[in-house]
Amino acid sequence: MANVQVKEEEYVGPALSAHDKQYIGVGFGLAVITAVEVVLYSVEKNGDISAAANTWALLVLSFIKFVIVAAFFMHLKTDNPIFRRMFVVGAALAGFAYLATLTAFGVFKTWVPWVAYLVFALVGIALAFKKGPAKTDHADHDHADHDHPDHDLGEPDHAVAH
Amino acid sequence: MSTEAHHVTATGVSNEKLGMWTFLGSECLLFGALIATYLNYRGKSINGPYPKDVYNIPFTSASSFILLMSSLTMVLALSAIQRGDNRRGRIWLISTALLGSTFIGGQIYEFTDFVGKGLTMKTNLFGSSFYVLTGFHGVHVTLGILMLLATAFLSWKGKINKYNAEAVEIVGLYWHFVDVIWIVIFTVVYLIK
Repeated sequence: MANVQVKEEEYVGPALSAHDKQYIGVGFGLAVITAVEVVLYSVEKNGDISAAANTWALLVLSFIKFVIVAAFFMHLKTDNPIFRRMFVVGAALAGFAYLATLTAFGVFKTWVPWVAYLVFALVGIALAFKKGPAKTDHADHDHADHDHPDHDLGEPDHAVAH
Repeated sequence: MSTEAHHVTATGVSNEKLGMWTFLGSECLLFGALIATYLNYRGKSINGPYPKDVYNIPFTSASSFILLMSSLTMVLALSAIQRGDNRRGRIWLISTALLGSTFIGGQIYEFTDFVGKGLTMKTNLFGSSFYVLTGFHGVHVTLGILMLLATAFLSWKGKINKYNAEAVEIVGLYWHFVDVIWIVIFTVVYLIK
């Protein structure tokens, strides 16, 4: 990272960018999913839905929330693919290791956790390795880089601040 | 203009950011081990209190919502600093720290309540694995709050701005990570019976 200290200039511009409005929409979506999870918990408590169906629904909703935060807030959707590939493959391998350990301890009575793991791991790996334009660091933050003084240096696109 | 040298990395991405992602990968293993331990011991306590005796789902749901919203304010802080709006960036950073502090306050209240109901680290397997898992997460959130406050202070001193906003992005990655881990903990530990 460049250690640049500049005098704070008065910012003139919109309070929220187009990206920010998208982030707020994503935050609202996450809040709705959390509310649905709590409703599902209450419904099962009242005996209106089977425990197995409820568990599946909660796992799927949790997975969706995880993917949304990682994709949008952690910028894995738009950042360099190396980050999401590393993260997804690492998470899939860790999940396999822990699931195998729990199976060895006899924690699971059925194969359902393995089926769930395979579904989530395959979806995650498919998303991570989906072909897309190669991007370098901060490629999604165009608005920030317009004024970067080092753009004047004519450096290659893959040069990054260190 | 920056006086620091810029160079091409072998991967084409920032080493600092790659380092943070690698660290987060190791954190996945740590929390994976703690969650696996909790699952292994679940339902094996020979004496109470049991989860159904102590959990207050509406309260924990509110805490989870607060932590989720702190991820939103964090990403808004990064966005503001990247476009040069440092003042608003600091406001969002401090808002994130306040939301994180509220979550930690809720966790302290929850732990106190559970101890009042007779659940301590030594009571049973549920108590041991629950406190270790959620306690470790709480420590991570606390460290994140300190990082956020330090970042806001550095921004106020003019040392963080749109030219080196990657520092904020890296702190943000850590913060979002503790949020996604809580998404898993909330579902696996609290909601699934």
